[in-house]
Amino acid sequence: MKLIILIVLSILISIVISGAAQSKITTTRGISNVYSKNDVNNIKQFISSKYNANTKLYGESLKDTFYGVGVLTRIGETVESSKDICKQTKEQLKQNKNTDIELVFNGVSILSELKCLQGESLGNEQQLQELLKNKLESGSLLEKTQAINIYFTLSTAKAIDSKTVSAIDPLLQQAVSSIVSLMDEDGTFKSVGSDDEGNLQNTAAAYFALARLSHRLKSNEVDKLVAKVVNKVDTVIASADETTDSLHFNDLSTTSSLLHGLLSLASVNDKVSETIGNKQINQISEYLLKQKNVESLSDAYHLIVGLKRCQKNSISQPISLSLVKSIYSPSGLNDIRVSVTDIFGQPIESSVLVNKVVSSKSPRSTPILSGKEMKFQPSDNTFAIDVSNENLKLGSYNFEFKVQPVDTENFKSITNTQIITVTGAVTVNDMKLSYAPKADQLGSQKSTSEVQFGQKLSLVEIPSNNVARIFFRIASEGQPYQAQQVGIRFHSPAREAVVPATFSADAYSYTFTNKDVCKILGCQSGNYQLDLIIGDQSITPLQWNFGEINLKFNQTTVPTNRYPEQLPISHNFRQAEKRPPQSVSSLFTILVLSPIAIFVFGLLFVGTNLGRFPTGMGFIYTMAFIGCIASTGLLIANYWLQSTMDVTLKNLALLMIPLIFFGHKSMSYYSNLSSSNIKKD
Amino acid sequence: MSTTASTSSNNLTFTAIVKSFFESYSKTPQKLKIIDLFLIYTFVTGVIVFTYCCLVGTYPFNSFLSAFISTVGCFVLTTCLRIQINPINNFAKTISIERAFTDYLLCNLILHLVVFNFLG
Repeated sequence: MKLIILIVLSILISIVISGAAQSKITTTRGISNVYSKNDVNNIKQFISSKYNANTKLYGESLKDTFYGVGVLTRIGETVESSKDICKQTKEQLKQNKNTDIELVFNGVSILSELKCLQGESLGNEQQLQELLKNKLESGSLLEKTQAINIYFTLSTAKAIDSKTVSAIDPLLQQAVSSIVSLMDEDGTFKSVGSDDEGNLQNTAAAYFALARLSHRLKSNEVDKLVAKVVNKVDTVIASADETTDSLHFNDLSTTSSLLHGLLSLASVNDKVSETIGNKQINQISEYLLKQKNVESLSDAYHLIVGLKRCQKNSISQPISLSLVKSIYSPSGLNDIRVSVTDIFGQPIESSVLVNKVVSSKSPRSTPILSGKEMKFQPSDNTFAIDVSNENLKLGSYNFEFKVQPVDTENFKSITNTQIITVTGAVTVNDMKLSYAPKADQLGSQKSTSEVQFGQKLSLVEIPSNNVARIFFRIASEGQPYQAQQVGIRFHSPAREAVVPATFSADAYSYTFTNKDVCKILGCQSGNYQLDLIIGDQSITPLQWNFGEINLKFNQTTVPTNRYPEQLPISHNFRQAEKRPPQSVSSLFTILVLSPIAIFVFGLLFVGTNLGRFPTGMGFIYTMAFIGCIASTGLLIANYWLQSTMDVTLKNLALLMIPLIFFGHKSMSYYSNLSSSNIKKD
Repeated sequence: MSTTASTSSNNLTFTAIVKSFFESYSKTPQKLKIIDLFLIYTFVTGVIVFTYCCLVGTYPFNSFLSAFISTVGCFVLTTCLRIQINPINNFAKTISIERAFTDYLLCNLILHLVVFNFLG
């Protein structure tokens, strides 16, 4: 019993150890795509299209201009009309008199990016000092971080006077404490202390500001506070949306800002790199590369900032391995090339090894090639390998490459698998059509007809009691080739059927009896054309009409359609009733309405007693009652013309309320009147 | 005897009967006379609708039926009203004229809802 427990324990321990070892040595496959020169040109054109010559700004505001200028300077493009933009920015800052922190932040950032700030003061120093002081002491988190960034940018450009420096510097330490105090339990940062919960945008801004403050202040107290924040970084990263390939936080701007903040924080605290590593950077890179098609200046800015942070960072910089081309002819296998680049398509100095090459059809089979180093080609910064001696047949192959960068500090090695297809033409050899009374006699020369590839057999009559066989081989470059789909098509003007050919020992064949083909061709006797159809992803599809046969069937022909042919359906509609002429209808309409004249003239004769029509409240009740009755009549008429019973009954129910009320009042009035008249009498 | 016989034979002539009828009818209350006028109106309308059906055709049949039901229904309801408010019938003790009129209106409302629903 003890022995069994020991064995089980040792197995479990070995599994755990091997699992841990595997996770340590896991290499990533790099990124599948890069931000190419074309993409850079596209984004440059997009930014240029947003320039407004009248306002001398990008987009509609200083914020849009900040995004536009930010993109252009980061992709290394010169900003056209930079002097005009600087002038316009300074003018707007002057008008604002340093009161709006966001506007000042955008303006200072633009001037800094365009190098218009060196040694120049923004003016209104006193107001600027007050603004920075105020925001650092009592602003929201974003206002605090903007104030810090403005102060650092102006200090670096020496565009701030010593009085402001001496006023702001003491507040920085306090700013660190106040920013850290806004951290929620889940590691996110609130905007102000009274907020219920934090968000990722605030968190990104806080990380970046804390990193800058830590660099600047270099104090143990600040480092401790930063360490407190770093302890919660894993919770923040756990809130990301992750798939196998990509990782992102909410949207593009949040992802980019948070990556920027995290990598800045990693430069002041090594513990960050334990949480965000090579895998996460590659996943974020994949996400950013999927967002290439930007629709706003903000998205363009955040995309480029994110990509630039992926390209240069202290944790791990993504590598991409791509094939120069993925389809080769058998004669081109002496020069298979790959390129190894960073996220912006810049070549990376490294060594590339072909780990193994296996057929895509059977990836677990013995490798055709393994452990062969590729040669660097300085002319186009690619790596090449010659596999022409490996005798690769037509088909697809999985090439596993291992990239070992020279700069191991910034880049990690990757293992990447690419599919290479060897394509070419095929030929058909030994095409034979034979028939005999028995299957074992099919090999005899007497009843065998042979045809060369591309030619056609003359009509062959196959007796109904014989067995027939079509035999052929497919070859590529002199080697037998097994295609993915091979079929023989029997067709006549009336019938058509395709049957698969059977592959066995480097050759294909299809053997059939009269009964077999009777079943597939509906026992329709006559001449049939024979086509050979070959389909495969690695070759040009082939269809060859190689012969014609005559088949005779004793059985009754099966109709092509399983249903008997029917005559077309003709629909007989009921004849419309004969209608009377318009004049007759009109005459009877007048006749139907005419009795009303009897009623009216009769009233004149009998007389009406309108003098007894009530006055006062009685008059109002009576008129309202008559109005309600008229409304009911109109409602019913409306139902006939356009409405539905449901709507009509609902409206009728509503109308019944005043109708009953006024009816009751009116009738009570008449009743009282009658009673009083009787009493008088 | 002969005088009595000639008087009774005079009374039985058509003119005498009509004269007697109008004399008696002139004593009928005005309300009932107006109701009678309305009854004549609905009756004549019903007769014209039926004549159209006999002479021209029943198409559209539902419209014909609606019109005929409306006239017949109206006639029946008005007759009932007339019976109820006629002082000779002594209904006034149990049913007041106002109550009878209200019943008449309600029944007409239901009748015409049915008629218009059937009209199509």
